[in-house]
Amino acid sequence: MVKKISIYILYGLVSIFFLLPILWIISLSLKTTSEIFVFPPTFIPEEITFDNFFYVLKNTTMTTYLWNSFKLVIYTVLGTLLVAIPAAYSFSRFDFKNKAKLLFVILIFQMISPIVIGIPIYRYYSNLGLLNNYFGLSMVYIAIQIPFATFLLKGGFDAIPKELDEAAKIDGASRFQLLHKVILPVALPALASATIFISINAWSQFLLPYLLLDRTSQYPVSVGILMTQGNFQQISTHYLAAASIIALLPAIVMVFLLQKFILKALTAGAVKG
Amino acid sequence: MNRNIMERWWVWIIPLALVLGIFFLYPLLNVIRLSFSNATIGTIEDGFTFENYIHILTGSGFWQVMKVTLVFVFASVLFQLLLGLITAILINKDLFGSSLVKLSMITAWVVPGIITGVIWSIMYSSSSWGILNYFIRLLGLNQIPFLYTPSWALFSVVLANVWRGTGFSGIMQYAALRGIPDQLYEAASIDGASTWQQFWNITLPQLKPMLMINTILITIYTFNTYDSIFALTQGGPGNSTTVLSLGAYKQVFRYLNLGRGSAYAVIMLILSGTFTILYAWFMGSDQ
Amino acid sequence: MKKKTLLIALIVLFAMTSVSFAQDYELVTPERIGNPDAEIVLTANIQRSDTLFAATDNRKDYIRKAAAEWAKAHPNARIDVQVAPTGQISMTMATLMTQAESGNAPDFAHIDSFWVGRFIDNGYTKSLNEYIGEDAVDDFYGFTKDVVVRDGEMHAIWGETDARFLYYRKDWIEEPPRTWDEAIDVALKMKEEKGVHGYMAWLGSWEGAVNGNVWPSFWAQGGEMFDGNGRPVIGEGKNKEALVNSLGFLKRLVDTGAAPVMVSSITGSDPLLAEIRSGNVAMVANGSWLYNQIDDIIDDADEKWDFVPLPQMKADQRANSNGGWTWAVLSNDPVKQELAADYIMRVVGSTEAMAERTKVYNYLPTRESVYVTDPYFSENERMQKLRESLEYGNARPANSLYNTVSDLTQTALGRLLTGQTDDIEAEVDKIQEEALNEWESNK
Repeated sequence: MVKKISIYILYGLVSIFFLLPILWIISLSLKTTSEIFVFPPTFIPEEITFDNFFYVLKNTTMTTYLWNSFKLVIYTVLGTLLVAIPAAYSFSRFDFKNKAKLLFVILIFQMISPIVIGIPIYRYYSNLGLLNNYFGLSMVYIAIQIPFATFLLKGGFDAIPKELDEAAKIDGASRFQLLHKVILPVALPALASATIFISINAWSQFLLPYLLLDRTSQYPVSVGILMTQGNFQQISTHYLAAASIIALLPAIVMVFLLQKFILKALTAGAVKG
Repeated sequence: MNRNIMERWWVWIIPLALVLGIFFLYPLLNVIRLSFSNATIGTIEDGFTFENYIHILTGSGFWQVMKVTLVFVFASVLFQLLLGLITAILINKDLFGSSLVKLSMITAWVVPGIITGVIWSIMYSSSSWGILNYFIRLLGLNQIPFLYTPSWALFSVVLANVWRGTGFSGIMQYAALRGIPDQLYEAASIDGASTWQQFWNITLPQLKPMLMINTILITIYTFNTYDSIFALTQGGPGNSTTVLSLGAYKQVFRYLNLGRGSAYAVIMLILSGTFTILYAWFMGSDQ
Repeated sequence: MKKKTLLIALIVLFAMTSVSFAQDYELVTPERIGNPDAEIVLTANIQRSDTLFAATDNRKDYIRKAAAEWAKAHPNARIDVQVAPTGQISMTMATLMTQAESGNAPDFAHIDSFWVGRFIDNGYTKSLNEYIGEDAVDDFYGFTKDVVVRDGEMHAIWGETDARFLYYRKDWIEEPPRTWDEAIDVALKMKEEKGVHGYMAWLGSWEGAVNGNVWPSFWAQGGEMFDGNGRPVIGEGKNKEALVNSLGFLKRLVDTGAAPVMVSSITGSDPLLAEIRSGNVAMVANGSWLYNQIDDIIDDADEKWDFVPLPQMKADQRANSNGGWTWAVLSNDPVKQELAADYIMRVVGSTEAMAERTKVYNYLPTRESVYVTDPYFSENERMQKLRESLEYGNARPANSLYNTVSDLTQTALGRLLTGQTDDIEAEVDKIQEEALNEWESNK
């Protein structure tokens, strides 16, 4: 019993640590301009107002930004899987020299920060005519995600017994059929978890879309949120709070709906060292 | 014929090689080239020079930046792993309410870096909306200067980063925990092993590969983190929270000094590469 | 599981419908000005505050009206607006610079006054004299011309400015301080008597810290950042002394407790306003815009707050630092240049537009004649007080090393205020050394 209670106390502490900042931002977003300056602060606003949300929705095209993010995430997920699946298959099912080294080389790409390649990519894209274009932007996103996605998928494929392949091979299946008919259906959990990791990363990208897109109507929400940040001549804390909540809501809803699925996927052995 | 070629391992890697080559390798080579030039945004670079590296490595601030970077990375990785592990073990108890814990952890993880910075700068504020200092005053203590003394500022950026990053580490470790066969624990119980012994002899060794992968990935992510720090402190006060990636950001986007920014980038790359090799070596020497 | 899938589908559907609303044809929209089917299409990068995404309705109304006039005058042209976020100045400026370098620059752009020098140096901007007339060029305040005029050619329209003051509680303080010593005395007295913060300013790591609090006193002592050749001299001779004094005052404020240590993390006016609102501060060093903000958050601003020039080392010294944004034409096409210049003049630069816009935006005009001809400015005591301060106006130098010098100074200030060092001279020497290094490697 004592043990149970102490676990519950820990549950409470951990949840508060993760949730308090978000709950506080929600509280701020529901306050009037003058109430945010009130000390001591109130948790539940004395006067609940949705004006900040209306203000943000009216003065920025937040819904467009959300939609743009959504599109970019879809392109990135599809593109990344398309490239990473065959690569992961190769790493999982073929034997060749220097496999570990090659994997390491791919991992090096994971270490490159967008800050670093931002300007060279801008110049490069300017020559290729790929600026202001979701194809160009998605390709960079995809390149960023490939290393981790390949790793994750390789782990998932490794967990599938080779006997399945052998059986299908005897039946005369081609390599492509093997992947398509045998591996992928069994590897669905791995694909699902890769999708989630890719989505979350693509959702958070900030510098690259800002550099590579100049039309405001093309911005994803991670950049669009800055449109509510005031300059010093304007009080903006409550608007920023409301905009943050709007920007986070779709991601939180997605996590809420998919959380069971994520965990099932991961625990099905998708991630192994 | 078709069938033959599909039997070669490299055929399956062609798409990956193409995408990485065209969209990543080319810009990367460009970065390396730029790091040996005096390029700025707005001028055509010329010549080959070590000046950027010499300037950075001999500059008075560089070792301070290195120190801050290492502290930031080390503390972030350590606490993300620890807190992630604790949370994963807690969730694994599967009591009523464990899904709330899970959900709250994942929620923090989907917050983009720049918004993390914005949220935490509100939390840390000394003004009326700074909720943390309000609690601290309720406890009868003095306000904590979260963002304005060097050591607290560094603590604060680490805390914000841990808040955001733990979700990733926690989920991965939870997955690994679930993958440990129950028979192992059952057998240990029969042998009379205590909970602590079980943790030490079963859980930890079974988790080790995952901990390694996690460490490598978190290290890489943390080396590249600049957005939340930028939104929180802009690297200040003084240079007390300026990490390498923020240094690169400032060089490129404030001074327009592409050459030096690229040199910072190459140094970052070498550092995270070294760490990865070290980790991999540790892991390899074990198997 | 099916229920959940349905839910997701519904959410997606909702997201899709909420964005695909039909847009009626309007002359001015947030991202387009003019006829949607126009033959000539200009592009412009404009800060959010000067678009229909601006924060307040009166600003939006002004932009809608002024931009519509341009659109009516040029039915065959339209402007596609790139709206820039107001909080990301250096990112936006670096991006614009990258665009200009690759030949993708917008046809005209809104450029911060302390960045425009680099655009002019690189030859990205075009002379505007032929489009706006010599008389108009002459009418601008000297400190703006120091930056945007080269060889008699005006390369950008400096649309508005601001000035720095010391705001103080007039119901508490009878004699506002004029010197640093007085400021510290008054602040400590207030702290003791009223139990409030004596003196506050935004001294975090950002441009505003040095622009609002270091340069005004540095210039008042006759300090220079660069010599005639553009060589940094900020840490040499008389300039060094001026900078040491200026940083020393700010350090003294914190060390004596006249200002709370939290000032070293403030990078915006919200934290200052929070203290003002709770009656917890006696003096605040800030810009001309603060007065209206105070008025917004407390009821009796008139009875409580007033402003005077910033305290200086000696009572007879005075200088101001003046910010603001400029508008530059980047297009190579003469037709577009003329259209762009016309937009800038109609919305920002002509005397009528400037009077109207600065009124609505709570800015200060940069053309002398506006203070004389427009009754809002000529008959208002507060406005004339602000005008007077422009006589002491200074702009940050148009040297491409300014950002480096500013950043180094911000870092030094942060180190001094938070007790990482007490040696002001050594910090100033370091600024000079690093800046000189940069200058030599860029030469």
